[in-house]
Amino acid sequence: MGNGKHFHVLLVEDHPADVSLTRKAFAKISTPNTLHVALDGMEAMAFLRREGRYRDAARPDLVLLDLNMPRKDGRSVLREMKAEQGFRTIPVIVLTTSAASHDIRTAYDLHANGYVAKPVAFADFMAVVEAIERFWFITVHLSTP
Amino acid sequence: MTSETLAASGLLVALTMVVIFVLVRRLQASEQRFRLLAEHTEDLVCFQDVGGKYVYVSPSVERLLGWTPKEFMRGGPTIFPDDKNTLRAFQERVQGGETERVLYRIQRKNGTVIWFETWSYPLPNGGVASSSRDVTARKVAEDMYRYLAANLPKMSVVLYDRDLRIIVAEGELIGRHGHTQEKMEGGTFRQVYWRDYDAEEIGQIQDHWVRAIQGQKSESESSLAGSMYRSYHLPMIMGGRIVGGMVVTIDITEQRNREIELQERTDDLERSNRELEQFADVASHELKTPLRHIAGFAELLADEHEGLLGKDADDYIHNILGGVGEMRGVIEALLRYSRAKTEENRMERVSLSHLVAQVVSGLRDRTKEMGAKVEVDLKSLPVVKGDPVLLRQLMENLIWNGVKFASPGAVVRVHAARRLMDWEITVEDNGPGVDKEHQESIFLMFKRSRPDVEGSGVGLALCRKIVGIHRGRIWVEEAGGPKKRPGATFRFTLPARNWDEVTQH
Repeated sequence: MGNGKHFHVLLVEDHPADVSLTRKAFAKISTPNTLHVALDGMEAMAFLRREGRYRDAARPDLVLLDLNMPRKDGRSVLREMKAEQGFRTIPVIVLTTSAASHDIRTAYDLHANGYVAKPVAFADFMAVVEAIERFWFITVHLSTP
Repeated sequence: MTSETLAASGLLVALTMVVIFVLVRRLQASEQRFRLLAEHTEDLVCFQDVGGKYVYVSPSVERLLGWTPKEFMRGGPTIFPDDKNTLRAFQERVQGGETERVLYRIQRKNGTVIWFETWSYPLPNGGVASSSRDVTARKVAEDMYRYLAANLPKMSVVLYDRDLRIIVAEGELIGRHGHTQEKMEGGTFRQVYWRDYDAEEIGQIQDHWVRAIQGQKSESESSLAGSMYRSYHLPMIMGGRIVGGMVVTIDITEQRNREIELQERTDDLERSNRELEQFADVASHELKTPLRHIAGFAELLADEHEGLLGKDADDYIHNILGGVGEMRGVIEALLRYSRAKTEENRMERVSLSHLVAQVVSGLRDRTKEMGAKVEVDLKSLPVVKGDPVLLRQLMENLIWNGVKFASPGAVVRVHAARRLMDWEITVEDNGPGVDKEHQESIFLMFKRSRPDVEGSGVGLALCRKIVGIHRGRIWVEEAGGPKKRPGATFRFTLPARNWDEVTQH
């Protein structure tokens, strides 16, 4: 599947339990992938810019972005990414607790490529991750080779 | 002396004689006229010499006081003891050259006391001319009006003439702020009020006084030493002429304080409502995250380790998952409750028959599964002004409630009737109904009358909130009740309104 390509996913998420559940879900899909984790917006930007300890970081094929985080929140990350030539081609899926209409609106205003409210049940979350796999890893052509 | 000059001086003498003759005739005529007037006037006319001795008393004295002029001139008037000093001071002022008016009590020959009003004028020869009349009737009427005005609680009445001179000042408020009735009556607007207000304020108030004598009514508000007053200014019209103005002032301090207090309480209530909504929203969000973690790991535990940890462990895991599912329902319902609000611009023309038909068809599968029936009198359902999203939630909740609680064999009926100001919509079922003691509490959050029936405990609270947003009322009627109706009967009202009114917005 996915013509043998190995996908790099950057998860920007501050809660270790969510990180762990997301890891679990991505480990269960058949497309080969690596889940990189940034614990807040500052780390996410450092990862993308390959700063400091991220000097050798891979360029992610997809970013999963939580909205509410300490230091730099998801909205700022989205704004900075979409303003920077090198990063604006990387698809960003907002993955957050909120299903509030103003949060959804704001995310798309900032050019998010998708918005998903985290489902409570793991089975439902698994379905979301599989949908992401089917669409972003299998169906579409990404800008990255 | 020439003959011409003689003739001329003779002519001069003759002319002088004619002039004197004419003048004397005029004088006699005027005295005659005066006598004529004095003899026939209804008022009492008197002349007194320098020593105060009566030299003329008109015959009207007999009708007014019972004495003949002669008797009166001999004996003089019998003044009511309390008024003697007033009268003495008055006489001194007149002798000092003032034209004055005085009001006093006088005793008639038959012993009765009447109110007398006397105008006195100083005469060039040092004597005094006066004219007096019986003003008892007027005085009694005035006393009655004064009594009325003086006893109006927290009010005052001020009457003034065209020169803004105060004629009457009465009422409970008069004595406040250092004024006295005695000092006010006779004083002009500025003399009385200059100390109470600054220049700008006094100008504004004077404008109201002036406008009244120009025939305009107006209202003003002022505050003085922590009290608030509202004044009504109006022209005083007598015999078709504006003779002055009138100010009726009411102390509105208490009323204003109550208004302020009420506003504060309303603000507090709105704030606490907002806080509650925010709290529900934030709390349910914050609860969702840990719940997701519990759910996620419990599922993983079940997926990966079921059958490996023993039967007890499997039970525990399933209990955790059951609890998670329940809590999820509560959180979702809380979120629905806290989000149930509407912007005025979402209020639109909603056809309830259309909306209920959609709700019923949306519930069809689940209703069929329960073996229940929903009967809607579509024709009776009105068009109302409302938020279609919220009204749909409301109808869905009420109908589904009926289906749930009356099953098996549930029949839910929906119909509406026009009341005086409202539409009354009824959703009734044939279930066990609601006991009298639960009729209020079932609309409270998390109050569940039947733990055996699945539900979040928020549904009816949400219904009440939605109906409240639409300015209606919702209630449930006693099962059985006076009409021995079986099952639960939920009714709610929505304001009936004229559609032209709404479409204009």
